[in-house]
Amino acid sequence: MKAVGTKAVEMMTEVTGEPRVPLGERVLMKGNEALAEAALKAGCRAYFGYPITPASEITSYMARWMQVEGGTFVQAESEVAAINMVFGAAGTGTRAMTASSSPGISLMSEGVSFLAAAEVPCLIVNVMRVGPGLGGIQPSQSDYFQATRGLGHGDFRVIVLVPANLQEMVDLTFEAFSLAEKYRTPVLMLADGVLGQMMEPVTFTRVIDPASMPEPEWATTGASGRPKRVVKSLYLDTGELEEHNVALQQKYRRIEQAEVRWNTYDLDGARILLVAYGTSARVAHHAMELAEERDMPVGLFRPITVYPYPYDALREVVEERGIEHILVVELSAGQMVEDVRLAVEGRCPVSFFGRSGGTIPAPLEVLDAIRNVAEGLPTARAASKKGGAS
Amino acid sequence: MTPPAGPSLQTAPIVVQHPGSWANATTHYCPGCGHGLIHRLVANALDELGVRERTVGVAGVGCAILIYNYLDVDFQEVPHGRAPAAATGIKRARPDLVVFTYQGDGDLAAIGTAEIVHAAARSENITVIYVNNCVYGMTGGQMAPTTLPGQRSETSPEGRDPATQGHPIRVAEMLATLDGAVYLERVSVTHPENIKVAYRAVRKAFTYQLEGKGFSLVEFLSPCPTNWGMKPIDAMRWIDETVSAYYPLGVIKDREPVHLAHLVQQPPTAFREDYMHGFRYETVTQATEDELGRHTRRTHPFGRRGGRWVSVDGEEYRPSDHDDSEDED
Repeated sequence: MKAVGTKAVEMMTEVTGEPRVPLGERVLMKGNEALAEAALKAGCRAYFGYPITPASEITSYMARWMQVEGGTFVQAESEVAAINMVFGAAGTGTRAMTASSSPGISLMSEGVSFLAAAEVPCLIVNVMRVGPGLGGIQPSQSDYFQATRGLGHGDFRVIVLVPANLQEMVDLTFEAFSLAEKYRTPVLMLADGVLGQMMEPVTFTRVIDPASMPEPEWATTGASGRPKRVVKSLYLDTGELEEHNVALQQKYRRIEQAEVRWNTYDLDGARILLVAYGTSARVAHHAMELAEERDMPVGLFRPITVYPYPYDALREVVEERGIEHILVVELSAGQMVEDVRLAVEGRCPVSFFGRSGGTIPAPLEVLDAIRNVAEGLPTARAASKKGGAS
Repeated sequence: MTPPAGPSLQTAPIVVQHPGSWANATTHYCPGCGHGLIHRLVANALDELGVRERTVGVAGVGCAILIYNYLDVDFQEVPHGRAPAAATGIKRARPDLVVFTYQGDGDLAAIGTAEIVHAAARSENITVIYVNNCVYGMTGGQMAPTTLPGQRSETSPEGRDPATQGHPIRVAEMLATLDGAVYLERVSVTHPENIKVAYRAVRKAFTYQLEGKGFSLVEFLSPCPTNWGMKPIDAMRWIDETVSAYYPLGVIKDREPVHLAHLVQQPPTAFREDYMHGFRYETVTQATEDELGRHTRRTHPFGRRGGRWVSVDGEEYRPSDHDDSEDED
């Protein structure tokens, strides 16, 4: 297997003249660079970014390769400018994106609200780091509230994708552009410092030629042979504004119906259900295996979209599998746990285990938390995986 | 007595009509406002250059955010102050499009300073129509970054006091210090002669974009009778007598971008002629130092070859001298 990094890619391409990252071949890449490569292969032809750890490699990769692909790259003066450059470029129907990390995403909030209101599709990547404030550069999942609730002022949502490994991140990058255009909405890829910085094998299976995509019927490309188009968010007439808001909400209901994604692991016989996403789901998965080795009845539920959140799916798992206790694992002080409580509506107790401040819990720590929960179960000590749920 | 029979309205030759880029909407602007005139000049220029069909405007936030109702071209409406960034995105993604921003002084010179400065520094090939009426119009007449010293506004009720409220910003002059800014002119719309000059400036700014020359900005001094508390005619007079004394009309800069490589390879003779705020930039050579009999401050803003700022009467600008005098005051 080849290891593919910016320098390695550069040398390989220049020396051999072969494609930068060939299709169908398993290559070892850094998360940020794999994501950038996926975006290029998905037909993204406009990238605007501002450097920030731990997301900088995305911007560097784009600086090196975007123009080679015939697209445009600008290092913006701020995240505020970057998101508005995305607005401009995406407003012409070009696949456009930006990437940043937590403090930078806060700066983009204004622009995201305008993008959502004007229904301009784009991809925004948040390689989360720990906050609040400048915080630090270690991985974190403490922007969950921001991503799913507070990404800007006004009544709006953006689709939020939460990959747990690099192959999934690559696949979701393709998906993100399709979803953005299908629903004319910004899509947020919510990764974290671990996913951005780690290396894993990935395989790219397709390339989308932007020239093959039709011009959207709302894009501002010059009013030639058609009435003028205005990409805007201002509606001074209250009636018109309410209609606009209702239409946006109807769109969000359609997204909630059709685009919920999740995955489950080892639900058979599970009495305790771990719920985790992204990097914490990797830790939780390992902890689950350790628990199973110790005959504890544990399963894992992993959301892949956190807006729309898999409320119904989680509730069904709890009901159908007779889950007795949920343990939510996050790299935060407890954010997604609120959505889990909304999902189960009191059907079973919900506990939380998390580390914040940039610390990633060891699987054994999570195992301890599972053990605490297991001890509280009615027949905890006797409970084994197979005989648990009846 | 019957009026003399003229040609009927149906058959009379058309002497004057709205430009094709004009959407013919009923105005929402106050009586005596400058925006209507300036919109019209932009529409005329787009018509004359035949680019209406490939133009995308970017509307800044302010009274003129509704410009897209008046011009029959594609528009994007973006967050307050961010128009130059959005225009950058449009132009970079689609260089074949003609892109302009239309921004007021609050939008461009306060909340959007970073965006305009960096768009100019990158020499984005866009045209900026900057309308300076020395006040925040849409929000009800608050002090703007361009409000003149002593000028009363909602937030400077006793008149703007530079000691506590700062000094106005001369945007065109500020941008002129950037190598990326190619064409900067300040105009007004106070009487027909000025309007003609203004139109030529707008047309030139768009022509430069079509020629791929880079960043251009036309700053309009525009009346806001409502928030100035003046009759429209007095507002025009105030621009001629007072505002344009603080913000002098004319071409502030009109030159190709200065490139580093050019300066390093050849002495920047043309650049020496450029006066900025009474100072010019001159290359420092060994000969200069020999002539002065002392070592000069070799600042290196343009590569290895050092330079210095010299006033018209040959006096060298020294930041430390300047700071000292400030301290003594």
